[in-house]
Amino acid sequence: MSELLRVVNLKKYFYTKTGFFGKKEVIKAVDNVSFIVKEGETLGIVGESGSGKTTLGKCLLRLVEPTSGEIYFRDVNILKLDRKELKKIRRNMQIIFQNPYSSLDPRMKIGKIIEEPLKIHGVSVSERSKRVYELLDLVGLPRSFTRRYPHMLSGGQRQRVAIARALALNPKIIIADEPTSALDVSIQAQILNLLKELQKIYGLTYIYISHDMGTIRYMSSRIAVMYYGKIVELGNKKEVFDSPFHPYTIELLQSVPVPNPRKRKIKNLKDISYEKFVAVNNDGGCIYYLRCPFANSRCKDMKVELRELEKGHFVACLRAKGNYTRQIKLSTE
Amino acid sequence: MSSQVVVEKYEQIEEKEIEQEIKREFIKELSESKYFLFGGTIFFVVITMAILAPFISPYDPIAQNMRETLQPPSAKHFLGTDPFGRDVLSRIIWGSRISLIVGIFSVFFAIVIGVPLGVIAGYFRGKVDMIISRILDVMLSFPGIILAIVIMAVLGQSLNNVILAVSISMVPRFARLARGQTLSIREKEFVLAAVSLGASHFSIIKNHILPNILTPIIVQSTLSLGSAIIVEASLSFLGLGVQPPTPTWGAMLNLGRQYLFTAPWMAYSAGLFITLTVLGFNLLGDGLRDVLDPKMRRT
Repeated sequence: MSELLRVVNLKKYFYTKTGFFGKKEVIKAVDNVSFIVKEGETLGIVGESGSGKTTLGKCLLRLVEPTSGEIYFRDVNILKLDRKELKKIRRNMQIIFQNPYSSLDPRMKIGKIIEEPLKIHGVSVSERSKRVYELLDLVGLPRSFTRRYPHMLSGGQRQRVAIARALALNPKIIIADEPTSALDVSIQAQILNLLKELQKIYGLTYIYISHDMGTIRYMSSRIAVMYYGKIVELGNKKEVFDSPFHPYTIELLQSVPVPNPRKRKIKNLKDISYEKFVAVNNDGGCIYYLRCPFANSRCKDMKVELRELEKGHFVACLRAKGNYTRQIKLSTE
Repeated sequence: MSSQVVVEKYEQIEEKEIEQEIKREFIKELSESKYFLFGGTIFFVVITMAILAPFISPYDPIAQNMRETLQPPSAKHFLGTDPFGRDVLSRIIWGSRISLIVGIFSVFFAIVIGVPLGVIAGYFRGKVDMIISRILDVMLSFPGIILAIVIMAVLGQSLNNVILAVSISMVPRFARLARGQTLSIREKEFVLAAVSLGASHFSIIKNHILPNILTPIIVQSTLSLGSAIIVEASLSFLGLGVQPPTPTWGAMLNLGRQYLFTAPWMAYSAGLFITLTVLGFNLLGDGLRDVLDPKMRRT
């Protein structure tokens, strides 16, 4: 599998100022993130709310302008392109948004919505309508929907329309930003299965963003765990789920509700407020320091980088290695 | 005929029914809104009056008749006569033309200038927004009528200049509205989706922003029609509007003011028509807003 997308040291900082004389604050939504995406795979990005997953997804498409870094799509640095060149690249990269209630223009009929990408990229009128029907068939919607408005559709149907729009230009890579979190559980499975099916047919590459460990496990082949703008663990699905290194990944896995209350693991993890978190983060230590049950004084002061502990399995934790990680696992089971 | 085709035909029929249902509901809601009905009736009456003025006015509005000056209302002169012996009813009917022409055209020009300004400011934000917003702030710092008076004093008095003055004084409210609406719409995900598809700024504004800010602008324009008529009447009242002998409600009010104790019918009838028309337009706007924008519905 060849490399399709390479992200190098991507940063997105938001600057906020509180009041006229207020102190300037920096929010590091995406902080020094690097990873690659191989053709045909699904990279799952998981993390809690506010961890910068969505911002990362939007940066990849330049819907949000990154502060610094490089994003290569097949050796072309997207961040260096002007509008015209970017438009060409955008045929290959599409996004499906979280909320299908706001990602479809309420004043446009479904037919027009799906037609829009074709129109923008200069497809002829006759071909356009053919393609719109083709896409509707593909996502399992009746052709008569072209004349409907989004408000006449259910959430699942809307998300199918959004998928059809994203597919219209035959993209290579689709960024799915929590495509199911606004939907009913029964519909979620349908949409996820549709995405998987489309991946099989077209050999699509996905970046699947979610906070839900269940759907991440179902969709992804590799997983990146994000915590406050940084990737703390990155590896194949099996490794991340079965032998996680980073305490945060373990915490995430534990947060998945277990049906049997007797098997529920008791945990004693500290919760921290964001203000306190920022203070520590600026000191240059481990970002997970305050919440980590295994932290020591080294974690507080030393800079933590992502390093490869096993082949293809990266982790940003000073204390995770060999026997010690096994200890973590024992103590949390 | 395959079953697929049959199904599709069936769906098409259903589709039409849904659309008709929506239209029916809309009309029903409109007809149930008392504001809309009352305002709409007044709007209709005034428009008819203006269009049919040559046919329904009993006398020539500018023909003077020195033998019948300052007559009180009677069967011959329904609303009496003025100091020049002109029939007040005829002048009211003809005066509605000026009010409506000024109202409609100035609102139209205010939209044509204000909405693009506001959309550009709201869409591009940053420095463009800064510049446009500060200019609008300057315009807003004058009360509308003062601004209109200044413009009239500079440009001189004619119908075109009245329209120009009134529309300039109303540009800021449309620009503000359009800017605010655009700011909120451009953050919606469907706009981001269009950006990710590679759409140009122009096509995003045309296809996504404008259709979505249309409703509040329609409502605002009906409401503004009322205030445009007031500004026009005020200008005429101050003698800065369309010049005599052309009948305007404002000028009639001013003339009537001088005879308020001896011949009150002049001021009363002009004042009543201004009040009713403006009230009608405002209620029409309120009614439209209630139906078009259920979120703002009064409780």
